[in-house]
Amino acid sequence: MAQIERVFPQAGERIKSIEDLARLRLVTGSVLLLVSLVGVLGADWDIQWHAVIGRDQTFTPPHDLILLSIGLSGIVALVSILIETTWSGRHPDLRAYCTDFLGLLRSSLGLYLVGFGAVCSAVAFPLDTYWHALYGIDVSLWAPFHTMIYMGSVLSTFGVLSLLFEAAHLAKRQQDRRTALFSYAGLVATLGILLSKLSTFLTPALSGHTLRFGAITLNFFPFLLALVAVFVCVLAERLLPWMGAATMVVIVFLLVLLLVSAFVPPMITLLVQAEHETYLARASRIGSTIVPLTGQTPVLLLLALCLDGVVWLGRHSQWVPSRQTTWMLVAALASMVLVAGVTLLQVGLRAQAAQGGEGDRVGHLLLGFLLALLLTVPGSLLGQGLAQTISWTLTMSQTLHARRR
Amino acid sequence: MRITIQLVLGLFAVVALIVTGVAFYQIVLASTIHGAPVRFIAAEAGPYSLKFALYSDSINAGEVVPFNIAVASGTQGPLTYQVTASPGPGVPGSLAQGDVTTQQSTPYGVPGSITLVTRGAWTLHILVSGPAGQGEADIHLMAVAPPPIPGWLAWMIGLLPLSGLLLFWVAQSRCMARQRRGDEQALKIEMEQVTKEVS
Repeated sequence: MAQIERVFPQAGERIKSIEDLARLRLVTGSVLLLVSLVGVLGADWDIQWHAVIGRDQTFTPPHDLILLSIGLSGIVALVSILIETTWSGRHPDLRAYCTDFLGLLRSSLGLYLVGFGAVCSAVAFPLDTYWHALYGIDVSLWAPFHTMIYMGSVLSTFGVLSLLFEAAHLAKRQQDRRTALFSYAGLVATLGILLSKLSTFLTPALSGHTLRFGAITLNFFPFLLALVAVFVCVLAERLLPWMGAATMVVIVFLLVLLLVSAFVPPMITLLVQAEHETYLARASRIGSTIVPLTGQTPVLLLLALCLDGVVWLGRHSQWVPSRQTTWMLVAALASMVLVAGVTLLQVGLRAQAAQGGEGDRVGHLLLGFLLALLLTVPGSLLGQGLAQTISWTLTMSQTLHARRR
Repeated sequence: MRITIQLVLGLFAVVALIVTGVAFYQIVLASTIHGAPVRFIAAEAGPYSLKFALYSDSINAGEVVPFNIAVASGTQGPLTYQVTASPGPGVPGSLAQGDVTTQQSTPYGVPGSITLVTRGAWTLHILVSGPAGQGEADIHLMAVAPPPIPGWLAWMIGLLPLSGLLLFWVAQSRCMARQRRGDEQALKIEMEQVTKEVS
């Protein structure tokens, strides 16, 4: 009897601790999500600031916002890692849900990714100042250290994704439905922010970066958008158990774009007046550079609905996973060919109107179809692969720990 | 192997944070912690005779440059200053705004700072307003930058987060494949044993 009494509190304590771990990860993931949103606002503000005002010092208000986001994500990740290390020190059973780092730290793999991303972005900041000192203010977003800042933040977003997925997984195992629900909702928001970050990074492709095939000049943007949109939507379908996951992600993406569009132009006007800044001669209008992205949203919704339809059919008809994967690829291909076609038609018509010439519209469309087909496949495979890796890493660390025990 | 990778990553994080801290110190704090000015430039801004003081012989592009502006003794009344810097021909920069703190005063005049973002020739415009009216002065400065690193090296550093993610992914995928093979092997052995037992 005494033995049973001794076992029961321990078992109760263990269950409570795992629930606490899931909640801690949910709270950390939610805070990191907000910090990530601050980073998105700062990044777009900065892109616009560079376009209309230039870069007059290292610590401009948009840079401060980006630095705040980088610093906070690093600090939040570190604090959470330390809390998890302390908890797993006190409750050895929790170690099955943590990844060991140098035998000193034990935490979620996602938090290490967030930390690594924050370190990369922080290092890139002074390097970017050096790059501007060398090559001036007209450096593209696709410059080495802009890429490093941006990719560091994308890496952090992958970390948040993994962290929230782990929280949902743990909560589900403990039948803590509320935590699981919020964790999955957080995953939807994170995927929307990821799509927003990736598509903002593509904006230089809207102007200047083109592919030339003989007489035909092609814009990179639709193909790269096809790649990232399919990647994020497939990732959503694979990580979320909900119906309509991809559509929800695209809706969040649209909301983020609206938020950015509502925030950036007034902030620029306000700060120009407050800091007595002057507009560059080339700055003809103030407006968010990512606003053109909203134009892609209807077609992105089409892609998301196609993928959701396939998943619904698959679950309804109990398809085997390989069949579902194949049909998702087909749906992605079909919808992205349409996306690329429509966008290329727009670009072609705009170029034709600007040049006043005939242009090769049929050539544009055919090549668009071909390239969208080429990039949709890796996008879909990357999405599937990453989702599989995240799920596997999660279950594997627990299995390995159980085996060691 | 896993410990080695973790050790490399841990060292990278520590070194990177130290380097970043030093760089931020150079960019911002170094401008507020300095000794006496080392370079004085005289200029005439309308009715005012100015003495512009710099704390370093060379101006590093991208870093905050501290300065002092002093007006010849005998000038009466409060003065306000507006300092801007415009890039010279061929310098890819935009108009830079300087900060002047008129509330403070040092033996070398009122302190201020400005950042010249890009290397090359810049013109500093100083607008002084006071009881004797307004005056403007232009001072020519040259900003320098460290030698450029090769483009391929910059891209290699720039793509570090992406390479990190890809490496992690490849390592996990290989682990996953190995695990799957191991599971299949174990299943095969188990099946053979069951078959033997049955027969």
